[in-house]
Amino acid sequence: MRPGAPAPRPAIYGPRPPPPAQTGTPGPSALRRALVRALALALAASLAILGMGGAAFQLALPFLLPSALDWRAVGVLLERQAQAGDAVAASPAWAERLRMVAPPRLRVLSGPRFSHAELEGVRRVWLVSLPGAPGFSFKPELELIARATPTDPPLAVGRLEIAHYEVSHPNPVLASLPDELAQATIDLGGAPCTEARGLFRCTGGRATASVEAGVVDVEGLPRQCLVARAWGEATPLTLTFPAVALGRILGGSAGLLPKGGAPAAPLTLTLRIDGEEAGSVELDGTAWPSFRIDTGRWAGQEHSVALEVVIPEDQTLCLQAVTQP
Amino acid sequence: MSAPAAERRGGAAGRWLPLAWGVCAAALLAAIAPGPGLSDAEAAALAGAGAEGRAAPAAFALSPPAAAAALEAAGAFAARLGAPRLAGYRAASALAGGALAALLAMLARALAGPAAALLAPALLLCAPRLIAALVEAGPLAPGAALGVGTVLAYRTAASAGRALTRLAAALLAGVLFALALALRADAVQLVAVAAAHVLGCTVLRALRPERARLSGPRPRSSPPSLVAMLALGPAAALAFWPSMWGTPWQGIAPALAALVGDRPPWGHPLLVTGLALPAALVAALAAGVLHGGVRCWRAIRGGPGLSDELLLLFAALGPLAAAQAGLCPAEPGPGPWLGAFPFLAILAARAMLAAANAIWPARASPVAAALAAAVLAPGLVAAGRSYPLLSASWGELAGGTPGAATLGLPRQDGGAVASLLREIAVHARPGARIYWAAVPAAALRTYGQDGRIRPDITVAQDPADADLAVVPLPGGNRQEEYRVWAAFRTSAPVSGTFLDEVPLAWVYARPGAWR
Repeated sequence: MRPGAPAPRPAIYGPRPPPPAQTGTPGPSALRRALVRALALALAASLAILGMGGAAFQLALPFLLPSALDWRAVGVLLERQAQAGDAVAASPAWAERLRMVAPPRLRVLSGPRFSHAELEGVRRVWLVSLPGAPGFSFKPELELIARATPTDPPLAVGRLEIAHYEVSHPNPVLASLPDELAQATIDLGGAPCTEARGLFRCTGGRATASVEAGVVDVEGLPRQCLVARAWGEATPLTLTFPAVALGRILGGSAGLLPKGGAPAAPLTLTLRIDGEEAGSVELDGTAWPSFRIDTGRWAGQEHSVALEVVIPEDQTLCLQAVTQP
Repeated sequence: MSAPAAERRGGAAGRWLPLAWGVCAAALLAAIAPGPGLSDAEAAALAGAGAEGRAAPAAFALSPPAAAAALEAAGAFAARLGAPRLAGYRAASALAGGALAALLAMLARALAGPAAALLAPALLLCAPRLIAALVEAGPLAPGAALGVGTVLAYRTAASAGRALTRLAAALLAGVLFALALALRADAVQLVAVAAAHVLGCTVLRALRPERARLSGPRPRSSPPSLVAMLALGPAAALAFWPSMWGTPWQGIAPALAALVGDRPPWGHPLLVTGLALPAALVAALAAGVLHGGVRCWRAIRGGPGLSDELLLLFAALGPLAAAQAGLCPAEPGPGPWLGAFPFLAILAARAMLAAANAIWPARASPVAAALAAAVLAPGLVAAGRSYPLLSASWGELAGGTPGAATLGLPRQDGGAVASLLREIAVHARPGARIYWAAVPAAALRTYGQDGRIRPDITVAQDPADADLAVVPLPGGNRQEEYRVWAAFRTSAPVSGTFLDEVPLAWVYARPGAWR
């Protein structure tokens, strides 16, 4: 190659493009070449940064996440220190290995929300966090602090952190109606339902229904509730619990499970105590609204409690109801 | 060394590259094939291979019955050799993956030179989600290979010197397209790509006739390929879907209904691609498309290679547009538009090589090698870490699998259950009845035939009748899992499969059933 001649284009870059047509137009200017080079440098820098960063992220991830030993240590800690009325939650919410290590007596809160209804019956909350995990945020802590007081600084257990919160205004539960379903009698439009293996089957007029205590997915969270399914004409469904310990409030939440194409329908829930109407609430059936009915007149005693609801045609209702002092 | 000598050496090496890539890719895919579990889509492809599938064939499915029959034959052949049926099912995909890599290297070499032929298949094979799609038994890998083959034949028909070669290539394009259509109905997008290419070239050349002579292949060489595709495609559809034999006109309506499913949200394929693949690869693919757009614009203004630039861009964007239009089946991850990635890989490889050449022309090769290493490294590390749960892997832009779980993205495609089978075989009590929540029957049948499920274990149809329950966590509604909670009266699993601490599947047990 002659000195001063341009370097040959390596063959690996493919066939050389044909020379530009001799149209009299000038070749690429120095400015244009500089611009192309700057763009190429920017691309190369971006790829290098993203590539090295990506590889570092992948290699570092195992060292940011807890080991099996960390989880076992948390399980032992909870086993030794948790009491009745305690609940445990994970942050981020997907860190559900917690359910494998948490003691069975401890209620595991599944979602990242700590609303009034979620903390019913809970006196203390243990929050197990993965602070190094991608996607971790302090939002659950902030929501929990609005309803509870941290007692001690978080304790580091390997790559996990465990914090302990006292609920500021605990709402103890006297009775949970889904737990009392075995003692209940149910009728659909006046026709009694039959029970087999915890499932009530009802036929009344041109409607059929089934009721059981179950867990359903409502708005992405598991809800332990009375699951009532109805087919055919909308007919009143009455659930009568013979002896329920009452306090000042009967509260809970209710919602229709989403069904493609089904229109939103309001729900009317009527509460009767010893046959006397104690209250009635109208709920937006599509969401998961909570309700509270005053039962102060009957507080401190056991009474017959009847809940009446009309489920829209071919819909499934999830009804959570508890009595509180 | 003189430039012609270097070119001769590069050219000689380049001729062997497609073959080398084909062998390496097929060997790699065959080696890793036994690891990942059967995805729901894979099980759906296998569903027609079993007795129940033959008894009740679907009226119209995206894959024809012949595809399931071919899979069944591959599985039976593997079983006769003493290999797992799953290996047989996936051997066809491994071979197709090898063919795809070889065809991709050939196309890249023709369009961008030997270095691109070296780099483009590596870009295709460096992301866990793309490897998972290529490993999967079913139409994904063969469909992508046939797509690249069709485009390569189409291009040859448009650019070959001899008329006889052009005619043969046009016929080959038609045949390959027909085979692609026989594998999967959404391959129909290839006709749209060819039609758009013919139309684009014709219109642009009509607008700028003075530039036509500089713009690559002959303007009138593409239509014969298109005609062959249009003629052989419907014939293949009729031949491979028996449900359309008697009354084809009545079969077209359900075919169209099945073909045009629910449209995903706008930008869905791009968003999923961006989040599922390693960020460096996403950046390289995006840079490739931009670079291709610039080259296309220059070609439109009179530069060289208008036909090739248009073809590459249309072929890369065609599968993405088909996915956006709802033509592809709704599956988690970028698998449904796998056909776009070979062309995106060529564009990315070309852009990276061009950048290396622009940065330091005298040392372009080392610069290109460094860039390639930077782009390939994150995907290879992620694939090594996530194997065999490749389809649960997410890119750094999503925050990896944990970040994706926080965002509520799908966690897995159904294959994670396979990671629990060994543990179930060890710990389940003898004669255990297992409720397999949302695990396809075809997947269970395959695991059973391969001896991965103990023969004394029976299937329970309802959690109430089961001793154990296996629950995959796809990332959406978890009603199946809550049914198990209610039936077993516990929310505490006894075992699970995790990737980066994100649970992908659980085992629940009644007291005494897990030892």
